[in-house]
Amino acid sequence: MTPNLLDPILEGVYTQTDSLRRLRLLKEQMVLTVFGNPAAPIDPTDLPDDEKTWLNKMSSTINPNISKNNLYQVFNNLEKEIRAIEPLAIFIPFEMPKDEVTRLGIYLRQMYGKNFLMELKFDPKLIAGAALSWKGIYKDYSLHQRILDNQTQILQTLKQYIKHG
Amino acid sequence: MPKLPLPYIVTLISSLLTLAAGALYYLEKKKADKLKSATSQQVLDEANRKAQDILGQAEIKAQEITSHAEHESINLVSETKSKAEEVEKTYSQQLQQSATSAAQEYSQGLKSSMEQFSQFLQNMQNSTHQIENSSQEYAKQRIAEIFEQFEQNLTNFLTTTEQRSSAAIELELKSARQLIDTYKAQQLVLIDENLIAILEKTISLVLAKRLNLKDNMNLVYEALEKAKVEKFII
Repeated sequence: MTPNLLDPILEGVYTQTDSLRRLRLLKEQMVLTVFGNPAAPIDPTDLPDDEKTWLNKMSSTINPNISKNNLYQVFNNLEKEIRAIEPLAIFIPFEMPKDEVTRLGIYLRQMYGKNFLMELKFDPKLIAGAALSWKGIYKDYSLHQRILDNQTQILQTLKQYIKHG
Repeated sequence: MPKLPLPYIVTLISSLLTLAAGALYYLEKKKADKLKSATSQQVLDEANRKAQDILGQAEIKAQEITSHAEHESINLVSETKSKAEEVEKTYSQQLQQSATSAAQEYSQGLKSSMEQFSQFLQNMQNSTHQIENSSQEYAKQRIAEIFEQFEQNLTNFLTTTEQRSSAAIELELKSARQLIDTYKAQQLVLIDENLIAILEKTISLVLAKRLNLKDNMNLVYEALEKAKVEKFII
């Protein structure tokens, strides 16, 4: 029985993009290991340290379970599982740094489950705050939407200000 | 039947008698011729003698009758002449009288006709004057009615035209006002949208410099909290 490989892959990554990228790296590593020269593993010098650590750890974990016959099948299944997870699309008007992404990801997994994924998208129109898209439904919680919702009041206030100086 | 003159009657009678005598003579002669053929000469001579006697008598009678007829005719002619003259005279007198009376009657009739005609003409003239006057009066009245009717119609027409023109102008003004109001409302909406757009642009420019990462992240967490409260993510 193949152990659950999804949880370790998703550990530490919180977006679908990062998850698939991690899976691709692992797959490359395993292909090289299984079909290539085992003495010359992939040199992940351009990867971050945590990624390197994770890759080495996963390689040793997954190695006994992978063979030439099931390698591609295993990774295809893993890819399908990752893609089957519905990510929460978060639209933000700024670029979020990695640590904040991690913090946000941990927060979301605490609320909605351990394998919960998100997708961050950049939308400067929002001005501030965020807009969310879940299972095809889009909801705008940004400042832009609040201005539109309170348009009449804002205009009245402006006109009063203009009138009375 | 026209009356014949007396001399002609007498002549006619005498002619008839003459014819009768001639016929008798012829008959007798014939008889005599018949008797002539008879066997007896004596009888024939006797017959001749009798015939001669008869003829003689007949001739004498005829002469008597003729002379009597002539005498009668002469008398008759003279009487006729005198009668004719009398008649002619009477006739001419009567004719004269009747001519005179006819002329008088004719002149009187003519005079009365002339008078009647002149009277008739006078009456005609009077009636013509009356008709002319009444025609003039009628024409005046009719013209006055026509003018009055014309004024009334003109007044009505002008009033109707004025009302229609006013209504049309009012309608035009109303539509123009509506158009202006619509345009004003549209422009105000555009202005409001532009104001909001300017406000958004201003806020985005200001907040991009004023908001730090922490504030941004707080706003993101606030949005997630709202989504959790609304049970947006299930």
